[in-house]
Amino acid sequence: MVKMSRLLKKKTAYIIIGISIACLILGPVMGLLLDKVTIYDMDSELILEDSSSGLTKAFAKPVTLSKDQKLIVEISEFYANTSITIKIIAKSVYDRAFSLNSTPSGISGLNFVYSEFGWGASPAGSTNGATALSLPSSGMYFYIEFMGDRTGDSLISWPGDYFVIVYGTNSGPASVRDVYFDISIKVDGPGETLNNLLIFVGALILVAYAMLALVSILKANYLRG
Amino acid sequence: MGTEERKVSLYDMLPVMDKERATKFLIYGLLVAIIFGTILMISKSIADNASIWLSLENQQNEMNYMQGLYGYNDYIVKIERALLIRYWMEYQVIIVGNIARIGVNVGLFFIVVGFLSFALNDKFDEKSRRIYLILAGAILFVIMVTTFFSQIAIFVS
Repeated sequence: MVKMSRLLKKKTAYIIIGISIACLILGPVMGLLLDKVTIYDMDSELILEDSSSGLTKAFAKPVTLSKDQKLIVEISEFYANTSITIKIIAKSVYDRAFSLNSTPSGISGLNFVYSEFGWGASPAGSTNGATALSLPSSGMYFYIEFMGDRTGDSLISWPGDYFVIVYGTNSGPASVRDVYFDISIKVDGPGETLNNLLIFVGALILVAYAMLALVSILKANYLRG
Repeated sequence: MGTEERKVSLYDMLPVMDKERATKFLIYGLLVAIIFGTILMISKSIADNASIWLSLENQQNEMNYMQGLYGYNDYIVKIERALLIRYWMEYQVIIVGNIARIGVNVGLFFIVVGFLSFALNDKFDEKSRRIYLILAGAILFVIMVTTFFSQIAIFVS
């Protein structure tokens, strides 16, 4: 009969293999869940048309980006008589403009890229750069990626504090001043790091256990009398 | 008093091991060799099919982009990561292959010891013992050749 070491006991084996399989399953799941972290998500976000004349009335959301972290903004505008403009600016620029209640149209936005997903179109050909986007005049929906600056259609990472600002107007009756839009702001999360780490740990445990079990069988049966 | 000259046979020089224990060596040696051999084959298959996997991954990536699941820069990053994984899929055969080679050789060594012990066992008839010795020698030859050369090949021209 084959002698068993403590390492090969059913309970120990179940625990070790269980941990390893849990890591291998959790890796992709966590990777998927934490791939992007949502900072703000709102349908029918409301601002007033005063926002186009003074930054204090505009929509503004602060975002802090670390190195190689990407900001993703999905914005769409499907409401009657409204038009909006989105820009991404540095916190220092925002603070100054806010204190002066500057006109948002006069503030220079930073470079970002936006995608217009086209079936059969080359991804490089359906991606453009801009410093500001107006909806619906340029399009009804945009998927914006931002890291600080860009070169061509690729992003350059400038870690720091930024503000996403949106201002707009309502071309309807003078009494109607509401401006609506849908916006979702996300940043890159720790999903990928966790995914790689958990898969590596899971595989390492499994391989190490298989090797130790093999050595332990050989040792128990042949190397001791 | 004259000295008695004792003839030492080749079998007497081999390690003594009972039949049951030698059979165990043979079975476990075979098992270890098969496990590591299978690992090597799987590893080689992964490396050989890395480019097909990359094509599949690139197509999936492009279709995910077209569906608007992520933007252009995520698309670029995923291409670069897929390339890195493809290179790892090709490179892992070097690491896994060498570990598997050690494993197979250890397994073969156990088989050699098993056959040598059969050859030594006087419960077997002389003919069988000779066959076991030849088998052990042949496997030992394979171990030696595969240790010093990457493969055995015969070319006919």
